[in-house]
Amino acid sequence: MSTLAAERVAEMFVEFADTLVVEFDLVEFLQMVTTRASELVGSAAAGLLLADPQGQLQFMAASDERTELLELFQVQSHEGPCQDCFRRAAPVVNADLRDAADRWPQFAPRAVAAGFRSVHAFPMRLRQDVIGALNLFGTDVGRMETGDVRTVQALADVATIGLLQERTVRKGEVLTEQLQGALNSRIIVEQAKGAIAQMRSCNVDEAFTLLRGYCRDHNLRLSDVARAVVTDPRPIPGLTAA
Amino acid sequence: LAADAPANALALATIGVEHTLESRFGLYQAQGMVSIQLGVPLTEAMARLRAHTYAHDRTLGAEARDIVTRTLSLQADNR
Repeated sequence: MSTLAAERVAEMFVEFADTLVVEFDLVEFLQMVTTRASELVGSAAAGLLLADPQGQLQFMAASDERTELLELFQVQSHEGPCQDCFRRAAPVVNADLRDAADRWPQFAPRAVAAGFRSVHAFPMRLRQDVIGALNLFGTDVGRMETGDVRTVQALADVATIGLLQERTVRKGEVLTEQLQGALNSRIIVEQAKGAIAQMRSCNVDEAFTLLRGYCRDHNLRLSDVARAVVTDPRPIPGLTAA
Repeated sequence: LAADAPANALALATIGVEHTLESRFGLYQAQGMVSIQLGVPLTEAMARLRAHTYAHDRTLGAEARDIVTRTLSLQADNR
């Protein structure tokens, strides 16, 4: 990994700021943050986990949502770099997965089997609290430089701001309600994936591609369309009906 | 990585899907599928999924996985 091009970093933050001033979809915004984080450091995949009101980490968004990657994020509600990062409120960087079987007996072998070699995790900080973690996976053991660590941490902070921004707009909810609300919007997307898979006779990953494509083509928010799919029995031409 | 996707998925499957991977997401995806299979709202779909799991003495995670992989459908139960 090389030190990040300053110009690219600046562009990215302009893009985030642009999104945050208008009405935006939280799941899509967080997917954008993970995608940019992944591109920036040349990692193979990035994901984001949020703490639920019980303090357990739950998957929220990723640059790549294939089922086996989702499982790699979800297993970290029990153990793994995000769990360590969350508990210690500090980044976990440059962990070599082949040497991590003792540290993370459940997580490390799965990550290696999925083709990854290195992993990093950055805390999503809010004042004294850590509310989640940004997770990056690499296919080689290249070390992340100090400057890059700082930039990726800034991306994790942007994700936190986006989360609070979207929820604050809704009303004066307390933090745990905000986090639960964010996780709920993610759950509806999963339910919609299942419903679309059943209606279109495809698998859930293909269903997600259909859902995202439909939202982009019609300039609609992912959460709104997902909610319509699971609550409104009327068929949606081009999505739930051919 | 993308080109290796099917192989990776297989590798993960052979490691074994234990309790840690009884992913909540599989459950929600299964809920959405059952909702369409039975033509019922989400809350009823979850109730039916739980009832079927209980009646067949299984775990909810295993049941959800079978629904999502299409090894199991609750559609037949509805007839």
